[in-house]
Formats: sequence, C-alpha cells, structure tokens
Amino acid sequence: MQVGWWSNIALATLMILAGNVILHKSALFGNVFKIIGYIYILLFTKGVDVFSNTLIAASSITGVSLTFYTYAYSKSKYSSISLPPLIDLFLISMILVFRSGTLIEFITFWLLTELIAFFLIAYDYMVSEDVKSMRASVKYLVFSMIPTDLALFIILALAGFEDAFTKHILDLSINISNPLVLVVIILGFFAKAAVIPLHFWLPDAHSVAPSPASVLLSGLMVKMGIYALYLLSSQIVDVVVSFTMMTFLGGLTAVYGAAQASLQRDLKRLLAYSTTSETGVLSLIAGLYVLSRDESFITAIILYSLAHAVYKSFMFMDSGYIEVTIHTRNINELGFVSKLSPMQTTNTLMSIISYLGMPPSIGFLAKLYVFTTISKHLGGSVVYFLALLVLVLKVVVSVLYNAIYLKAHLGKQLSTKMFTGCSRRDEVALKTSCFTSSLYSYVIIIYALSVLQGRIIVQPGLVELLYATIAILLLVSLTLYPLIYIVLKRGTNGGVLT
Amino acid sequence: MGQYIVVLKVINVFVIIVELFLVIIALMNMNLFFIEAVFKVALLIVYLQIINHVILDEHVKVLRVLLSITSMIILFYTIVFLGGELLFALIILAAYLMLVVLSTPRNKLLPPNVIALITPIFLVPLLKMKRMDVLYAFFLVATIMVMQTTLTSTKFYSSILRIFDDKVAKPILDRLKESKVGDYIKPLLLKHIKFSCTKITNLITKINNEARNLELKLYSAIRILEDILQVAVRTEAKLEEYISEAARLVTKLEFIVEHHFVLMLILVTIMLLITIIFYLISPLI
Repeated sequence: MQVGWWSNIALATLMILAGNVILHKSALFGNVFKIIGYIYILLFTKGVDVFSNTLIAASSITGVSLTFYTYAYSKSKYSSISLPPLIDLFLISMILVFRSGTLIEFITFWLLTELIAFFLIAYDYMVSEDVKSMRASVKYLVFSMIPTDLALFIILALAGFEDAFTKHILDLSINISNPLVLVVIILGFFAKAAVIPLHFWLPDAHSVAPSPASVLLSGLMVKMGIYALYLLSSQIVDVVVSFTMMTFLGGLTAVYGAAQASLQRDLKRLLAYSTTSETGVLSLIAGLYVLSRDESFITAIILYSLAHAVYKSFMFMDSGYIEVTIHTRNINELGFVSKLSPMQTTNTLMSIISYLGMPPSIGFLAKLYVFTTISKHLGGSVVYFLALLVLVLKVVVSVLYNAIYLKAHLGKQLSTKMFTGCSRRDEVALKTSCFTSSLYSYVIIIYALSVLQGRIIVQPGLVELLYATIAILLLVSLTLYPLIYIVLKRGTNGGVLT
Repeated sequence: MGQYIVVLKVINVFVIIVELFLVIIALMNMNLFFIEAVFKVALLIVYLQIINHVILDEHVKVLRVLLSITSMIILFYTIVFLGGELLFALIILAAYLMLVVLSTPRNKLLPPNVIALITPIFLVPLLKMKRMDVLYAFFLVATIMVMQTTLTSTKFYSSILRIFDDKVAKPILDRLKESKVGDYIKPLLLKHIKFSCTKITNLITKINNEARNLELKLYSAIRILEDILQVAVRTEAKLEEYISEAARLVTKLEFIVEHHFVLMLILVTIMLLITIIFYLISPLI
C-alpha cells in the first residue's frame, strides 16, 4: 500500500513537471497536462485520515484552478514563465506534507515547503530586486520558519528516531509533559498559522508575493499550522496549557485580524489580515476540541478549512487580476472594476455571498456547522459561550471587510487609470480561472457531503433529504450567476467604460 | 441609480426565496439543523444592507446595523445558553431583525424582507404540534400563502406600511412634537449616538495606532537583523577576496614548482636542513 500512494504522487508530479516543459512549446497542452496531473492526485491520492484527505483535495482543486491563472499572470506581470514550476513544486510539497505517513516524512516535506515558500515570497526580489519582498521574506524566515522548525525538531527529539521512521503518524503517542516545551511547540505552530503573537509576518509576506503564491500561502500553507495543531492535540499534552493558548490566542487573533482587515485599503493586505482572523477561528475551535474531545469540532475545522481555502484562493486570484489589469491595489483608487469586467464582479459577488452564508455554498455549511456544534455545548461551560461571543464579533466584522473589498468592484470611483495590463488572451485565461475558482465555493459542497456525511448528519433518514435540498438550492443559486452578469453588463454600455 | 443597487436587489430576492424554501423544509422535518439554517439565511438579508451602506459610505448607518446585528446574535445565543428554547430565541430574533430592517431606509424590497424575517415565528406553533395534525396543515398552507402573496404583491404591503405611518406613527410623533418631548429627545439621542460613534472610532484608531507602533518596533528589529545580514554578506565578500588572494599565491607557487625546478630543490634542501637541525637541537631546548 505504501508503494501505491508514492507511485501515484510520483506519476502525478512527473505529469505536472512534464506539463511545465511542454508549456514552453504549447501553453494549452502544457496546462492541460498539468491539470490532468492534479486531477490524478485528487482521484487517486488518499490522505491518512479525513482531515488530511480534505486538505489534499483542497490542494489539488486549487492546483487545477491555478494552472492557467499562473501561466497568464506570470506572462503578463514578469514577461516570462518561470513562476509556474515554482508554484507547482510548492503545491506538490504541501500535498506531500498532508499525505505524510511517518513523522520523518512530515518534517522533511514541511522543511521543503518552507524553503520553497521563502523563494516565492522573495520572488520579486529575484526578478526585479524589489527590496520590500526581500524584507518580507527575511521576516518570514525569522518569525515563521525558525519557530516552526524549532517546534518540529523538539517533537522529533521527543518521539525518538525509531518511532519517527517506523510508526504511523496517527499512532504516535508523544508525551509532552513539560509545560514550557509545550508552549514552545504550540508557539511554533502558531507561527506557521499566523496566530498572535507570531502573526505579523503574514500581511507583508502575502502582500508582496506573486498572487498565485499568495493563493497557496493563504489558502493552504497556513492550514499546515492548523493540521500540526490537530496532530498535536491527539498526543499526551497538558490540557490546560494547550486549551488556554489555543482558545485565548486564537480568539484574540480572530477579532484582531478582522478589525485590522476592515482598516486596510490595500486589497492584498486586507485579505492577508482576514486570513489571520480565519486561522484564529480555526485555532479557537481546535482549543475547544482539546477541552471537550468532541469529534464534531474536528469536522467543524475540516469544513471551515475547506471553505476558507476555496474562498481565499478566489479572492487572491481576483486581487491579482486587478493588479495585473489596473496596476493598483488601493481600494480608494478603485471602484470601477464592474465596469471594466462584469464577469469578474459577478464572480466576486457570488464568492462573497457564499462566504457570508448563502446556501448551499461551502461557507454556509461550514459556519452553520461551527455555530451548531458550539451551541450544542452551551450548557456545559461558560467557555463555549465566550467562544461563541468572539465568533459572533468576528463574523460581524467580517461582513464589514467583505463589503469594503466589494467597494473595489462596485464603488463610486470613476475610471482614471490606464489599462495596459495584459493581452486579451491572458485576460481571458485569468478571468476563466477566477470563474472556476468562484464556482468551486458552490460545487465543492457535494464533495464535502460525500466525505463527511456520516459526521455531519447523525439522524438516520435525513441524508437523502439533505442531498435533495442541496441539489435544488444549487440549481437555484447557479441561476444567480447569469442574472447578476446581465445586470452588470447593462451598466457597462456595451463594454465601453463610462 | 448605481448598477450595484439592482444587483443587491436581485441577490436579496434570491436570498428571500432560499429562506422561504428552507423554512418549508424546516417545517416539514422539525430538525434543529434546518432551523439554524433559517436563522443563518435571515442574517444574510441584514448583511446585504451592511454592504449597501458600506458602498454608499454611510458610516453611521453601518455602525448602527453592525451593533444591532451583534446584539441580536448574542441575545439569541444567550437565551439558548440560559436554558431557554431555541424556538423562543427565534421569535425574539425575528422581532429584533424586523426592527433592524424597519430602522433602515425604505425600498421596494422592504416588505418581503420583513416577511422573510418574521416567518420563523410561524415555526413556533407548528413545531409544537404533531406531524399529522390538522392545525399543522392549516398553518403550513397559511404560511406558504403569506409568503407567495408577499413576494408577488409588494405594493399592497407598502400601502399597509403607509397607512400605518399615517394613522399610527405620524399622530404619535405629532403629539410628541406638541409636547416638545420629541424636540428634546431627538437631539439628545443623536448626540448620544454621535458620542458613542466617536468613542468607538477613537478606540479603533487607538488600537490601530498601537498595532502600528508594535509593527514599527518589529520593523526596526528586522532592520537590525538586516544590518547583521549585510555585515555577514560583507564579511563573506572579504573572505572571498582573501581566498582569491590565497588562490593567486598558490598559482604562483605552482608556477615556481613547475618552471624553477632547481630553485625548488634548493628550497626543499634548506627546509630539510632546518628540520634536521630542529630535531638535533630539540632535546637541548
């Protein structure tokens, strides 16, 4: 069995790398080859458990939607196609982290991922000697890589080499009895997930990295920290220390990140702070799991991670599209994207309302499940009520920053910028990728239900009804796409900017 | 009128349809999961209003709706937490939501919004009854009829609201004006709202400034690190220079070895002699 998954990933990697070579001769065939590789991973690579499985699926789906996007973005912004191979390697290394069967595999692939992330953040420095990106990458190196690596090596020392090489990662039972060691380990993983107090590397790193890299950094890499916290919570740990750190610091990050996001006027910084807020929520839920040991919280983390990965991927892709075509990320200078591209605004609107809770999107299911699970425990301890309070505040502020983001598309500002971004063909590639990514917010619910139906619905006989409801609502929701597009298209006066 | 207003209205209609659909499903199954789903979608209607106000830069209104919605959700869960029924909480929520929607400026979609928000109230008596009850069927049909009528005849409801305004709200306001209570309360209320808005804005700005300061400090730490790195890079460059110097010397030596054999022989002999002498005199030292 071990050979099976290795050979599958190896074959898919070969296909993806071959796609990158073909890219130099034919963009279409190269990208199609890469997409087949990612679909192959989605179909034939199973994770070590449900969480890992979901993260692998999210990674491969993001890979599919990023393929054409990265090619067009790289060609338009850097006039070369040196970015796609780096992005693919980054994605594959992350898939390997989520698929790792032993601790040593986990640590090895983790280090590889971090290294590639460093080069992706410093990409603008390598291409055009932009000092900002170098500074951000050094910040990432010091405040994210070093603490995380320290945590990983402490775990390796505690587990012992024999167990690290031979035992399955889920069968490990590491005794972390020393509270100080536990604090160092948790802080290490917090550094990766960008939870307070080691969160400040994220806004800089995400805003200077190329957009496809931001998609992966924000949508998937921060989940590595959450995945590590999840693996850590099944070890022998001090419940009080781990619970207090995860819930308190997670809650603080959730509210602080959301408040900071609402004050930003740079699209990418807004999204970066919102990522900090979301990982805070995930850390908070992980803390509640440590306290209650209720598996529903794990299901909530899985759903929320999936929803966030899909939603944030689209948002960063959209900000990249705006950056390439309009050459600004300042919301105060924008507000006319709907006139420039009604399609892009339609995608953004659909994505935002799915995130805010339009059924049957994945955002709706994730948030509903989080709130239902916490309200189930409300009678148990006052902690759950406080956690709920924090979540409510976070959700309300998240409406605000989503609305501010929407101002870039639908604001009152008139066009004063020159649009000399990219060729028509590249623009189509960017927009099509954004459309598929936005559509995933609705379609992926079928995947989530098929994988998690036993965990979400415990009442017999209700699954069929849920499927029927989802199917009907899916059809209803998808008719909204053309409707919004038609309304916005009318406002552009036949494509001419007003 | 901006195109986005039409778009928001389209979304609003869709949200209402989805809400009503979920209400029917919840009524048919009496499941907690679906009831909370109804609550979640009801919130979406208010979220759309926030988006509308943000795009229009109506900051005070945004703040007002944000505060209302926060207090509303907290109230909902407080009742659940204190052991009250979820359904009771839903009634209060629906009433509160209705107030929020009514307190914002009117548009043509207001009546359907209000109805979509108060439909959870219909859930309460129905969920208390048994499935095959006659009353259940009656309430179900009545609810669906009300929903459909609401969606199709918005004008009728706006006229009801107008009548409500003319017959109830205006006389009360006039009375208040006559007694000059209104003149006193309104500025006081506005003053208080403005005061709290300023306070909150100041607090947020203060938090932001503190965060900025902290980040600036961190930046300075990063800069120190950068300096250290630069020193390291310079040292490395110097080392490289030394190494290349050494390499040049080695090359010269190689040249001498290859081209001045006799000289080398003499050198080696001298070195040999020095070594022998050293060995001879070492016991004496």
